[in-house]
Amino acid sequence: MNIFNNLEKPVLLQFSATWCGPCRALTPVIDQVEIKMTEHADVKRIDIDKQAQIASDFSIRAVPTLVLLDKNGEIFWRHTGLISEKDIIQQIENLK
Amino acid sequence: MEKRKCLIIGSGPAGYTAAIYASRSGLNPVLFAGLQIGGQLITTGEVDNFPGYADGVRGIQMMEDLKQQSERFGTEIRNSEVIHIDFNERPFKVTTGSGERLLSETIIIATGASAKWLGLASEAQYYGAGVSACATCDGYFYKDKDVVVVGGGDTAIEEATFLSHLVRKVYLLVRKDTFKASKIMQDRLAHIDNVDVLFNTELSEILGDDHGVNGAKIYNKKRDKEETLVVQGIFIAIGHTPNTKIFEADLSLDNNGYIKTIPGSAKTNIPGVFACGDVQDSEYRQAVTAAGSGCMAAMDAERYLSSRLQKNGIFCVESNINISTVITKNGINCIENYIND
Repeated sequence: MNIFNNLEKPVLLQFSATWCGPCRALTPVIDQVEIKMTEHADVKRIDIDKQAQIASDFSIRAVPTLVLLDKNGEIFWRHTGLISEKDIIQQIENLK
Repeated sequence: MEKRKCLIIGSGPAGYTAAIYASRSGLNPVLFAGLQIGGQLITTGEVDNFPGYADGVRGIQMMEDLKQQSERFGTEIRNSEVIHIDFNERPFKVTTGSGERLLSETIIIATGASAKWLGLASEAQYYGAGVSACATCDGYFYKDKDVVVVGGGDTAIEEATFLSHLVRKVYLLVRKDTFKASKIMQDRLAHIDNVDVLFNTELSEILGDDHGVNGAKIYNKKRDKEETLVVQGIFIAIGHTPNTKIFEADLSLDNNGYIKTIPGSAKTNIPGVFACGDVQDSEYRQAVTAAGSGCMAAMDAERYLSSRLQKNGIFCVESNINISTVITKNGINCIENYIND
């Protein structure tokens, strides 16, 4: 998880896969979060087929999974399944 | 406050079909997609029984097609979730999870149903870490491992069949001594040799550690015997529960929580409020029946709007007297929907 140390901003990781329906359904929600929270968090999309090592580092066993890291790269919040834009933004707000 | 003629809640086949018909009727609908954008079908692999797709279609693809079709005729789709409706005021007052407030003259409810859970504490504890209700989403993580599927209906067999191509072994736990699933699904299972069907068997506990699930405690009722299976994944497929929580105070629901509609229509007990899809159908629950009822809801909404008369600021419906009861409001005869209990 070294690549996520000493971050400028918190990072929201979206673990997904092209074959996962709910992942595709969640993507427009994450797009909105990225636009609205651009000053407060970076969003990184992780395709678990292409970046299997990162998925393994975060013990991903279901998709879609969101992981919110604080500036130190520590896991602040984790969620599996669909979720509203408002609830994701609330978690990022909690990190301010 | 934003005002609409027609507001649709839900984005499965019922919601999108209602949107197609409502937008083509000039009702300028707004559709709130909710949390599960695309409904239950986005977790389904291949859909082989929806007319028009001769070679089958992936559930997510079909939902994207329906979404595009509804947008083509002007439906506005928003991703937020409706959290409250004031049915006592006309137009109805709608509040969303992102804080929007709208008024709408008609409401079409197509909120569908959600996967049911067993209710074990360990089920919630290991959700996303070995416990799942979506084999097409999470089966990938169990390649060459052993898993349990719980359930005896079509969904359970579909999950077991899908997983059998990926995992080493599937234990299918069926609570009763027979399947509830359709014959075609049972026949499909008969040709798969890495699925062990355990009848009369319940999942009594999910075992695990910091890394996630590592076992399942099962109980055979007939033999009164408990044993432990070494498995890494548990897939729950025990049916669905209708998404009616925000409506239960106002709409007539049946004993299982499904919205009651006047037979042969999408009308609920509140004039101007219509229901379609799995939220009002505990019997068929198919994509095609949901789509059909979505069409009915939009047509009922359009007819409701065009048959209303406004007198002294009050809208009343003065048609379809055979399926409704007449009540008097401020001296005006109005039609109220009546549903037999």
